[in-house]
Amino acid sequence: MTLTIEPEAELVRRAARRDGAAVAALLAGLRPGLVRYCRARLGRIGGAYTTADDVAQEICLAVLRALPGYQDQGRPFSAFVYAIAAHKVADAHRAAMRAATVTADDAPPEHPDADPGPEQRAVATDLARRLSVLLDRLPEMQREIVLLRVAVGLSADEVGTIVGMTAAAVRMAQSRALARLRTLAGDTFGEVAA
Amino acid sequence: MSGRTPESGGEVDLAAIARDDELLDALGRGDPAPEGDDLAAMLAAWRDDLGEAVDDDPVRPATPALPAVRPRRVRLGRPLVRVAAAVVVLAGVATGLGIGSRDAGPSSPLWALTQVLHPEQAEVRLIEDTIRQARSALAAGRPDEARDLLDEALRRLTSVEDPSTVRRLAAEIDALRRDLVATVPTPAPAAPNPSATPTTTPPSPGGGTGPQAPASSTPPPSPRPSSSPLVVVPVPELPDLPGLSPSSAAPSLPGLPLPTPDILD
Repeated sequence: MTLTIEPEAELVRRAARRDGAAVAALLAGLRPGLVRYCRARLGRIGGAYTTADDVAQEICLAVLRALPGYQDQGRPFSAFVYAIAAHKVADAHRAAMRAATVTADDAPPEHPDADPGPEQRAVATDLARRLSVLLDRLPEMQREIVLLRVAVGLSADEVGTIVGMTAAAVRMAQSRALARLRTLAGDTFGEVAA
Repeated sequence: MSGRTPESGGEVDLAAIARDDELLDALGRGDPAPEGDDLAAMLAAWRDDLGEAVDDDPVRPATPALPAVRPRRVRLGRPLVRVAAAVVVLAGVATGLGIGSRDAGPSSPLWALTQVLHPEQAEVRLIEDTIRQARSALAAGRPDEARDLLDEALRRLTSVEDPSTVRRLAAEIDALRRDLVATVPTPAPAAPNPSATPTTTPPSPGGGTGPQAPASSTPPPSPRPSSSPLVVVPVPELPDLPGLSPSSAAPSLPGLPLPTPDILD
């Protein structure tokens, strides 16, 4: 699998020329991040990530279609991809909001640590769920930055291009977001401990 | 820089910003959270949860989760395995669709993919399809439609680069053109010969079969002029029209003072 090691710029160039192997490798590299992004943004709709994953798939196709137009823009490729992604997710979000009310499952369990279960997995899932609740309490921009930085794994510079900030502003905002999350988390931990 | 302070209070210090930045970089790579950092642990668990089963074949519904069985220990190894698996699966899917879509025609469900992955191939399919339509239009006795379709096929052919494909398609178009020319003119030449000198039907051959039939029919007029002065008539006839115009203009003028007759009556 030498494909994954290939520099992205070259992959993108080849994929834009409809090189089948390059398209496959590019999608393979993009998809996990896109799936995490969509899942983080859309959550479990009807208890499953199916909708989010479908949207991720749709974004992959949209990226492929738009690929020939990318060359001229001179932006980082991730910015190009996640601009498309944000747009598609917003569409899907509106559609989902219209179709169904958000599940109450997102609320944190009342006694998160009361029933740790035999598996670490339960704890991890619980932690993940609690974090997504905390994220909902962040200002939208901070949430998006944390999402792109952690869920997708983009650099501060890339995120800056996507959200229209300097990298320095992104670093300030993300520190602020972390501080706020720590405060919020501290509150919940405190409640649990008390 | 030293503007507002983070929510938790305390000063904005650059070291903390750098530390947070590093932490987010690490979490973004999928690294495990550092010991003793509850928020980092939550973020790591969250990222992991979001990435659950990402490598599943996107086309098929996800396998009925066996979450408990999945080993959770190999934190750093798993992402690599996932990426490798995703590459294999996607390469398979992409190759399969890629190959399948290569030969898909406009009516195929893979047509959209063909247009994305093999634009030139898609163009060739479109041209072939257009030629096919032209052929059936010709067979059904709709030569005008066939001609339009052939013109369109020829226009599209300019965007095909592969020389052998261009030759093949051009040959098909040429052959159909000849068929078209052969079928259309037959009624036209029959008319001019007999009499009907004024209506030598120059318009009808000029419309379609220009290159072929009219070329042979135009010479005859030159030998004939002596025997049939009528052929020249068309030219004087045109001047005649202006001559008529005064008379035709006259009736139109009276039209305006229509009321007068009434008054006269």
